[in-house]
Amino acid sequence: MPMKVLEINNLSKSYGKTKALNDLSLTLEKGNIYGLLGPNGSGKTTTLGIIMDVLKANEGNYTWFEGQFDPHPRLNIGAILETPNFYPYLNATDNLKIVQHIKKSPEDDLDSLLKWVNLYDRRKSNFKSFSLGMKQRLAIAASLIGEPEVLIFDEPTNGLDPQGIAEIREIILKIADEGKTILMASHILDEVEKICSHVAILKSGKLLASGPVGTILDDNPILELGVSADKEIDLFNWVNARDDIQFIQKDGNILLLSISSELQPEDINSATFQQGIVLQHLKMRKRTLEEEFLSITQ
Amino acid sequence: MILYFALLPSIAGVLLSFETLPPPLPSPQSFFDFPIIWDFMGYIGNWLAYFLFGFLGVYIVSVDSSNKTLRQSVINGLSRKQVISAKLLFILTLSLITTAYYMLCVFVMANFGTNPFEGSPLLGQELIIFRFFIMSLSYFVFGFLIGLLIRSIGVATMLYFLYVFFIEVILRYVVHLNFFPKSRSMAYYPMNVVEDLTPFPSGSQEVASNSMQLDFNLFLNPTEALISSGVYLLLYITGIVFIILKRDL
Repeated sequence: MPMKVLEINNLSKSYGKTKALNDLSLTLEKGNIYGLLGPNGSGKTTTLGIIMDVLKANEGNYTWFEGQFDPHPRLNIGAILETPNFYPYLNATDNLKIVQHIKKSPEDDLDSLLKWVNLYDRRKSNFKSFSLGMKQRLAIAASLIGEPEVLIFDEPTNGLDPQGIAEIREIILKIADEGKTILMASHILDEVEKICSHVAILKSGKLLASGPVGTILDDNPILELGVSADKEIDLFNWVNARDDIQFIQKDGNILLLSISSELQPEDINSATFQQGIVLQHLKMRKRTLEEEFLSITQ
Repeated sequence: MILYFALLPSIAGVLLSFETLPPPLPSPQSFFDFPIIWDFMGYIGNWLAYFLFGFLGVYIVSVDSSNKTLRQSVINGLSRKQVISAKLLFILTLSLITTAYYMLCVFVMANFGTNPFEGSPLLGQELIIFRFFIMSLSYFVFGFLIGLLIRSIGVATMLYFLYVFFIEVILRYVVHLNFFPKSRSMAYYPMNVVEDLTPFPSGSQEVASNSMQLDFNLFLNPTEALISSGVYLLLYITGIVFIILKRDL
């Protein structure tokens, strides 16, 4: 049975009257890549903050590595939470040396790490002169010091331009290829779908769904329906009246619907035609993670 | 810290430029005789610590808070207990260094005294060196606590100076005297107990008490100041430990 690298039990956290986390329980197993998904304010960053001991939970507990590395489990974890934080007046190498000292890992080859994240040429530049993308890359380099068993990334591509996003994605994929356990909070669902083996979906501090990506994705297919503008309201009303069809979202003039797997496209076409609604677009396909996420969180 | 190293002997040296001082103060040169030189240099050090060490205590923690590097250190693997130990150990080391420098200045400046090394005891009276150490430590730790409570360097610094210059003075001489007239408890406020650890070495305390028409000594004796400072230090350190262990970073 794979080792449980993280076990979260009934974690709750409130900020005044706002319940940021509500009785969350989750287990991460070694070697898997977990995506932590949820809209803004769902509790993703709060969860990561608590398990990294920078936030204090009101209730509940968590255990790293089944207690094997207590009382200093974070020496075996590399993490980026929110924005990268380093000493602005120190250069890249010196900042990494501080992390190296904390991690008690003097053997790390800092130059190799900096080359790996394409910061070797700027190793003597002060942190305050770095762009956001460079700061993120330095944070990734720091998270790899000490060859941690687990890596945690909280929205690692937030605020980056497309090139920055592509660079970070490539680095994370390289890390994933090495077989490390990764926990990644992200809004970019297609990235999570490509990289992650497991997902956990949060909303308003509650866990809505968790498990392997394949089981999270509903078997029910997605139906795309398109009509002329004057028939949109009629189609919408027809959808709402059906128990076996659920509205997900509107993409331009196309309605994305979740339908029961027993329904066939010709049944839909026939039913709408009987209501005087002529379909201009009809397509059935498998769900994406984004659609599943929207379906669950609505 | 550089300011402290430069100013401690310099201010003492400035006194030598005066030929006489107003009564009941003795001649300037006599301040450089043992054991009075310990109290004299300690008094100068107290003023410097009042301005510099508290600010440094604020700065040590609030720069870490504003850069979020304290938070990042915990993420990287330091436990909160290790953070507390590291910070307090650093402050302890600074206090030891400033006390050692105080001792060095005393022995150097003593050469300007009238009969410096004939007085006794050579290491001062009533644990003056230990009192100076506690004085340094108290200012550092008090500033540190304020910096921890108010995570902004600017606001924390302002609050520190507001408290030491105005708030405590108002609390003691306006509020306390009005509600508890002729009560010696007004001497036990946090900054006052630290100031009385190394007071001015002459009878000026009695003059001050008499001028305010108080029938008690406004100033604490060394033992009272030491015990009171110890209590306050314990409270500050308890507050620091509680905040770092329990609060969100």
